[in-house]
This record gives sequence, C-alpha cells and structure tokens, in this order.
Amino acid sequence: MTPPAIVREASEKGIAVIAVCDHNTAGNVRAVMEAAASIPDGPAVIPGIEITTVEEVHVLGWFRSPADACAVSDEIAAGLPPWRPLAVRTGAPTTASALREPEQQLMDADGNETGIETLMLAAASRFTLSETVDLIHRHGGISVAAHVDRRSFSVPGQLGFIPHDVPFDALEISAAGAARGRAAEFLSHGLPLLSSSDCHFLEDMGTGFTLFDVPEPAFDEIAKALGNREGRGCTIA
Amino acid sequence: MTLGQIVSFLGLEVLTPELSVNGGADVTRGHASDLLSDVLANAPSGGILLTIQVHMNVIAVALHAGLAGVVFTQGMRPEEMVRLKAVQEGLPLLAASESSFDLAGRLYALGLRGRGQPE
Repeated sequence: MTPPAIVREASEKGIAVIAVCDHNTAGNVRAVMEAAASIPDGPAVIPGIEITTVEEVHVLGWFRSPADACAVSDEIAAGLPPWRPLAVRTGAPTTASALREPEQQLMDADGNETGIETLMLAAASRFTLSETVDLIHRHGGISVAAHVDRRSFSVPGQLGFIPHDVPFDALEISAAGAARGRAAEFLSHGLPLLSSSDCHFLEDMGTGFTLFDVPEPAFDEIAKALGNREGRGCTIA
Repeated sequence: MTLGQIVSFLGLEVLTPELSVNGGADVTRGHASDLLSDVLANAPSGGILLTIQVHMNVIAVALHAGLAGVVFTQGMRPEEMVRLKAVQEGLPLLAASESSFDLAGRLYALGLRGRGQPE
C-alpha cells in the first residue's frame, strides 16, 4: 500500500476519486495526493482520516485540503498513547517474524519510507463521538459514520442505535453490506448513504463504491452531492 | 436483594440521589458490557449493567432492556446531561472506582448471576 501503488491501482480500475483515511492520522495524505498528480489519469484524492472515538466508533473525516486534514490529525495525535511494542509471550517460538513489530510507515510520493509513526494509531482518541463530528466540521470537513452495517467499531455496534443529535453528513455501508441490500435498513435516518471498499489491501480497492452525479471529482462537488444541492447527488450500487 | 442493599454492600456512589434505590424489585442478575448493541441483545431484564460506556445512548438502551440500574465502573462518569436524562427517566445511576471485573466478582459473591445462569 505505497502511494504510487495506491494511485496506480485506482487508475487501472477507473476509479475517479479516492479518499485516503488512515486510522487516526493524515500523515500520508500529501504523499498520495502528490503521487496521483504525477501520473496521467491519476484519481482525485480527498485527504481524510478515520478517527476512533472514545466510544470506539469509527468516523470518517474528508477535507478540502491536506492542511485541514493534518490540523485534525494533529488534534487527534495530541491524545493518542505512544506506540506499544507487541508483547512477546513467554515460551512462544521466537521466530524473526514473531518479533518483528508491525510498522506504521510514513512515505513520500515515490513510496520511500520517510519515518515511522510513533503513536498508537489503533487506540481510541480522546474525542467523543459528538466532539469528533464537531472537530471535523470545525475544519470544514465532511463527517461520515463508517460501516454502520457492521458490528465492530460502528455507531450501532458500539452505541446500540444512531443518535439523532449527532450531525453526520452521511452514513457509510460496507461493501459486503451493500451487496446484501442492507442499505435499506438505514434509509430512515434521512442521511445520504455511501459505500466504499474500506480497503486495507490493494486488491480490495473498488470492491465497494459510490456513484456521484457531479461534473468533476472534487471535494466541493461531493459536499454538494451529499447535501443534494445544485442537481448533484449520489447513489450506491 | 434490592438495589439499595447492593449500593450499601459494595459502597457504590449514587449519581442520581433524586431517585430512590430502595423499594424496587429484587435485583438477581447482572451484565458487564461496553457494547450497547450487546446490552440491547443480551442484558437480562431487571438486572444491573456494569460498564465504562458513558455515552448518552446508555440510558435509552438500559431502559429498552428494562434494567434496574447502571453502574459506571473504573471511575468513569457520564456528563451531567446524561445524568439528568436518567433522573428524568427514573433510571438509577451508580459509580464505582473498581474495574468491571472486580465489581462483577463481588456481585457474584452476593448471589447475582449473569444471563442464562441458574439463580
């Protein structure tokens, strides 16, 4: 999942726009945006982040500029614990792979490692669900409740139901959920429904997607589509 | 055992002094969980919930599940709005500094049981 590989994969699959949403950080968004700009037919790249709230709910934030995404990322980072090395079990075989820590690499646009993340990105941030949505909105972003059809790390999974006083801009259905027709369960919230691949591996990219009816694949157009403004809109397959 | 007896045996702090913890039905069951979808599905009606989940939704979920009260463990405290909602709905809220694990052990020793276990 290097920046050049990500944008090449999107380009080959004919994906017009991707959002880069690492867990609790926007540390690699600039590199992916640069990589996309450097190839012909590179996708539009929305700088984003997938924030883990205090309640361990995943919320996606999409932003107009990498500076906005990074400002949010900095606020999240201030409350994250330091990276904790994998515990090695006594008596477990000490093979090289067992001892190797999973690395959270920072990369440049060519895919060269420029640093290692020193915080525990998999931990919960110090922002509650409401505070997280507010944080995203304060930086002009779009907030999306992630994979609401899944049991793990979703608003319904953690909190039993979707509270009506949290001003999400959209709800995201997982690719598997969309394929099983689960979007219908979430129509009553009156929010736009999105789907995406949530890909953690290149080959999964494009397994879930949203069709945006917009003149160009850009943040402002997507914002209009989610607000059903100026004739823009979106549908999921 | 009434909720009031549990409060005094375990030295729980009562976060909703506006509500009486005495006089309700006996509490014989408990559930420990921080996932409210699990509480909705599995918490035994009439039981008490041990949780570190302090989101407002805990009140609606506890009422839906017919719980007798909620104990916030490990020093967790809900916001005042959550507390006021509980008072309004008549749901006693309690607090403890111990972890859910330790508190569940003490409640088990007092005779409370989890879902599906014989009393």
